Amino acid sequence: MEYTEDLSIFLEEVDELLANTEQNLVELEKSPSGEALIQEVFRAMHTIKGGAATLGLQDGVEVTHAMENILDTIRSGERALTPDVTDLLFSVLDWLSSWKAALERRSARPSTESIMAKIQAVQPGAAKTGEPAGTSGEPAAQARDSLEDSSDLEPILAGQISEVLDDGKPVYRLTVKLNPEAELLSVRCFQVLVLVGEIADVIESVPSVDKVEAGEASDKLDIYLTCSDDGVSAKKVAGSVQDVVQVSLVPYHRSGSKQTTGDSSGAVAGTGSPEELHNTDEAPATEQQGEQPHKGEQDNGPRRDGDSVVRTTNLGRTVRVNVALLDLLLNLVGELVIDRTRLSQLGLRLQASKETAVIGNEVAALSARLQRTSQELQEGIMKARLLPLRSILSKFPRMVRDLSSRCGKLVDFEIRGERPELDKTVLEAIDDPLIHILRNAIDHGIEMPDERRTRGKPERGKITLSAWYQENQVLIQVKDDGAGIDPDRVRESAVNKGLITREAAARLSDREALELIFTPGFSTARTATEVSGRGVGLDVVRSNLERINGHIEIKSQAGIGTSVILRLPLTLAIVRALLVECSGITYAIPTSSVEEVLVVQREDIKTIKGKAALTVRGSVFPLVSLEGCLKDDPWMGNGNFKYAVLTRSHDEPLALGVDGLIGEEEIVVKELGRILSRLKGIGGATILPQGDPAVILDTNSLL
Amino acid sequence: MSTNQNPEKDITNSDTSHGRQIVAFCLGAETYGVDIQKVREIIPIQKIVPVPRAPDFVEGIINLRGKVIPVLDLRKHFGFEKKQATPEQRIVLTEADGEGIGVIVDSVSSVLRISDDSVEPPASVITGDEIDYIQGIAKVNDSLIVLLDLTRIISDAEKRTLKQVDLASAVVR
Repeated sequence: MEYTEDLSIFLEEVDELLANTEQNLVELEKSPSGEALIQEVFRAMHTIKGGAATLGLQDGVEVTHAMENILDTIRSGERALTPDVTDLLFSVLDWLSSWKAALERRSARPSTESIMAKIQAVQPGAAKTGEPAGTSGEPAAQARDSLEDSSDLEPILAGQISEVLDDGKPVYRLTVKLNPEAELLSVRCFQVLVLVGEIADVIESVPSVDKVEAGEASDKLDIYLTCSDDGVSAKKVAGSVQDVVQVSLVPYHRSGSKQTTGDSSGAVAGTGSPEELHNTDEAPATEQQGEQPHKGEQDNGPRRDGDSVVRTTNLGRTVRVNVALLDLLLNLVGELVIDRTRLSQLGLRLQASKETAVIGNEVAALSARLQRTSQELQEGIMKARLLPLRSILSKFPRMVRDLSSRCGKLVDFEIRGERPELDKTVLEAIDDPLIHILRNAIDHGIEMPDERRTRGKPERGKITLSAWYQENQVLIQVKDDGAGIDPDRVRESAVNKGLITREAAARLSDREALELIFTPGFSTARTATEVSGRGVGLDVVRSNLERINGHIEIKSQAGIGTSVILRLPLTLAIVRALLVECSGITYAIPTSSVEEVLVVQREDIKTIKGKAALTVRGSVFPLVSLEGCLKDDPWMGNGNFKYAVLTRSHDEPLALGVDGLIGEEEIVVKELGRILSRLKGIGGATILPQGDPAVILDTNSLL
Repeated sequence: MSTNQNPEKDITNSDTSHGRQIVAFCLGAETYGVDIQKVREIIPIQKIVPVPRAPDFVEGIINLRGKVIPVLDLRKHFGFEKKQATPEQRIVLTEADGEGIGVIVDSVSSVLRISDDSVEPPASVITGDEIDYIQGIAKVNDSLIVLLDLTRIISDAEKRTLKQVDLASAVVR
């Protein structure tokens, strides 16, 4: 159980680390000398390695370790970040992604064979398999390596400290306290060691790197280090690690080598604080709370800032909630709304009679209040379903990189404003459209480098994805500085495909002509196979967006570029609904009014006064035909149905016989218009994922 | 809308003399016309999903770019006999009080400009109680075109719906 929890925390972290690393690699490709970025990537691999080691995932350790080795040679300048190395790093990321996915699904993890072969091809001999050690370039590991052969650690520790002191360098002891409740303590310790090791020379730590890697970590970590500054930066980075609650830094002075040696052995052996190790010279230990040092980390790039705000600084103010729970809450609110309606009807009935008018008024007032509360509740839950746009954008830099290099194009991709939050359903619905639009921008928009040069444009094309709020909408714009869309070519193409006559095409304004690209059948076969691979055209993109009340528009200037704007609603009237089929027509029944769905067995059907009924757990459900109800002939079909939906009508149990069950779906409730607004048993309409409209039933008033 | 995806919406091809532009369409052997200003779009027949308990002149609903639009069958509305679907059938989309609505017609023949003096007020003998939404009869060449006010047809339809709903709820009580 604990293992499972650790694993899921680890996987979430891996997810983030991989996404960040991917972005960093894309950045690195642009500026291969970005040392800070290499550090970041290195650190991410190291964290994954540490976590994998703690959880005993040897394959992950092997691969991340090999990747570290490569990064290390780049870091040290032994090797340049050539394209083949970048490609390899991307392959390693891909492997880690599928590895992570396999862990999530608990399916067979990918073999390390081919990826290790690739790594060794790039750097023969460097990737020693099966040895999850730190790299030689890392001070902490170095210290550890030299200790490996010794069975007697402690005197060596003291000896090493002495050696450093003998060299005239200052030694500090950095004491890191972690939240004892935190998950994955050893991973956090590992992170601290790695971060500190990057800016200071770690002499040794208690517990040692080995022990940390083996998962033997407590909520306290002592690091003995030497560094050029006064150790403040080491303290800062240690404080930046998640779950670190306190960091203190004390200069260490020798008070007699023999004595220190003896004391230190006791200190290292025990888990208690080795107070004896530093002498009485009580340098004021500057305390630092774990939450603040994020400021010191901002130079790591903007990507950090969103994450740490949500994940660490606000640790006490945000929680992760299971989506299933939110769905359940939404359904419960739906039921509440239905009950409120009944309550208000009850109030009306009571008000109608003189004797009960007083109670009736009270009930009416109560139901009015209940309406306000339930509405606010519903709005609150809808807000809780909002997710940051970032969650779907993070994969795009890598995608743009891969696609553009496959097309032989040079593209700079920038994302501006990933903060807007949208409903989960909206996010899901715009994922594919955005991919499609970006693919179009790369494939059809941005020109080949030499073509751009001849046109007097910079060789590298630019694609910008920006998002911002505007009134009750979120706008997402994808803009490129490519060739633009030539309205005449669109006209020509539409005419050739028989979508429009030549005369009609000629009369369209340029703007109207651009709109033709959204016509079904316009998107060319070439687009479908080579680039999108999904066989969808822009018409599908448009209809997907419109299903969620979104809108797409396109502006383009030939030779200058194209911009596609998505307008999206912040929230939607969404209900979960059961889709059922009757005589080939699909209906949606909100799941809030569905008690159960049954397969009707002939022998289960009883008859009461000749009418079909089902007995379920002691309750009698009259079995009527849904289709019959809608034709005001409920007993049509004589109980001869495949499935029954148990529900309530006018507060009484009712089983609706249907021909087929299609499934459950989140649907967007739409108005039916005035002409159809007052139909009994009908609550609205929706557009099904396949694009057909469907009627939403209100089972309570069906009969 | 601004999208001219269909050659039928051939509206710019006319002179600028006085009079009005109408979209002419056929229902049975007769030709009807509606003011082009009231026509938003003309689309081919697409999947129409029936709405249970809807008045019978409502054919069903369609998905028009993410919006659910009710579609009326003008044949049924006028009491003509039901006709098998043909490829010439079209849905003429119009708007009533800000709500989109479609009407099915047998075919759209053309966009015409008719001069005001060729339009005569409807004779009550012909129109009966439909006088509300028949604006007049236009003589073009040798044929007659019945000019319809689609917005009125829709409000007429709404009235009929209300009657039906009232009847239904009366029965329930």
